[in-house]
Amino acid sequence: MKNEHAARPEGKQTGHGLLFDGVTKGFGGKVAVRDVSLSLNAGERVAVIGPSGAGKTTLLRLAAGALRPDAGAVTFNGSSVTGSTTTLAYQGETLVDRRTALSNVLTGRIGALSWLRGFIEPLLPRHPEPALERLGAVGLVERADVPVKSLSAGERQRVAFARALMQDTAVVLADEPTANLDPSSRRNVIDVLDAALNGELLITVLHDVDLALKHFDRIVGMADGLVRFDTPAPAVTDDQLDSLFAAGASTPDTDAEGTGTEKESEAPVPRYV
Amino acid sequence: MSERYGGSDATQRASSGPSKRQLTTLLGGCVILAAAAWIAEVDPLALFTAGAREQMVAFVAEGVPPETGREYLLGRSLREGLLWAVVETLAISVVGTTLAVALAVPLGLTSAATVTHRGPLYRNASAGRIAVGRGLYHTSRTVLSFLRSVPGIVWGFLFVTAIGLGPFAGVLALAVHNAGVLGKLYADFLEDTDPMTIEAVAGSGATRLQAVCHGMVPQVTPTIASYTLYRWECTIRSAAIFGFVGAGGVGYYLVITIQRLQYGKLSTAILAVFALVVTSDWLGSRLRTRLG
Repeated sequence: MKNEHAARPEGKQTGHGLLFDGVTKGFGGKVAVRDVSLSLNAGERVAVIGPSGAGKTTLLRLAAGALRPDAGAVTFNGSSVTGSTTTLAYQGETLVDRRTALSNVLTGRIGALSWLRGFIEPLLPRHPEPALERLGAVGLVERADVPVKSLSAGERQRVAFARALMQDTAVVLADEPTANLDPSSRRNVIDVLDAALNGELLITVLHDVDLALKHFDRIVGMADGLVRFDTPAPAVTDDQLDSLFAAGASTPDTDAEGTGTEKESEAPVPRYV
Repeated sequence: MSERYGGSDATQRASSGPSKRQLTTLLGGCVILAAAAWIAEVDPLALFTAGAREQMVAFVAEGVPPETGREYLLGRSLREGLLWAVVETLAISVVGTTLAVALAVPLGLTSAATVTHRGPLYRNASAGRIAVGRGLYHTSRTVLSFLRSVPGIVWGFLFVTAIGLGPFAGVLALAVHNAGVLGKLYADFLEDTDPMTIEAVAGSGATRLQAVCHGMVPQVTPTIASYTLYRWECTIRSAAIFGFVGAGGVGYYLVITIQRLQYGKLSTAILAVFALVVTSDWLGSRLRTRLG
């Protein structure tokens, strides 16, 4: 997947793409992201790695417009990001368990519908085709009518992608899409995501460093809210990784922050702020 | 390792006996219970006085066998007789609970902080919007507390005064009191939903109300349905005494037979209420199992 989309015309047309300009964000007294500046272009595959509590998820949610920076700005093509310019693919755990895969994917399009239709469409779809198409893109069209609670963790993650892809935005953000998955499912989920994308800028928070290095073009290493390095994947050195994870005093393979998993909800994190 | 640790800890505790803190708690509990018993004028010997014994013997002697006469059970027309009163009690509980749900849903939504002013839906909201939401929240919570704090039988009395004797007064009494109970339950469940699931739906461009509808509510519908059914079982028990204030149902027979000292008929009425409660509990638990 590397560099496959890097030279797509969208990249040239959009100019500066997604821009973090001196962004700082804190929760309570704790600064999660401090003075981050990054410039990311269409078609790029970017993996954000780093120890737990490094601010990776906060960075992603800032890019999604779900959080507003305390200082600095996050812009896409010159205007502030909102929920409609970027898509955050949440984890599979955030799907509504009792509803079908199709119904969950249909919620990804609510914003594009009339107010009243937004209430009805996920339950009684008039146009299920786009949702079925996205489910097809992640290889789950035949599981469309299965309640999400009956799906495996890997399948749930793919449904969550399908839901995110409903929004047709130029930027797709994925937060730990491989958390709680076994190694073969991890690769599968990344491959599915790659195949389903069509020239969008993809930013993924990953705790699996090997997966990041093998499947992504560009690696952003974060620790303590700071960007420690930002280099093409082949240029990442062992020394950089060692110092990155030493800085956070944590191992690379622990479950990382702010992802909505049950483990996470036990910790006093800024999700409720 | 944790098990082993827990084991040794437990042994240690057993050997050293109850801690000072546990003793204090126990002593405190005893003092509160003694005070409560004094206030409630508890007198165990009262049950064994000659008068009490005599009355109980009289009740048992006259209450057995229960009255099973056709006229008492079926009455002379359709809307008469004990069995009709049982059916009426059931009907009051079904319609009353349904009406309570209809009132509790909007009040429950406006009493849930996650719907009105807190959590992922309001992360980027203006201070004014949050203040409005908080005002709505406190108002709704107050309304719910009031509805809940007035007992069903008192509501029954009020509605009988307003619209006259009959089962509809019972329906309204049940609806109003249980709207307060169910609304609070719904609100508490809605506040205990997973914020990331809601954020994920809101992130797709959904409005707040749409995100509530598709991200928050479906998380709690099974729990809400289950508690509503449980509450319906409770309403049967409360509907059984609405007859005391003339608000319909089998309670009328309870109060009238007590007043007239017709213990045989009273026994039948008590048995009828018992059968109704057992049946509704059984039905309710079966439906809840199916929901789970």
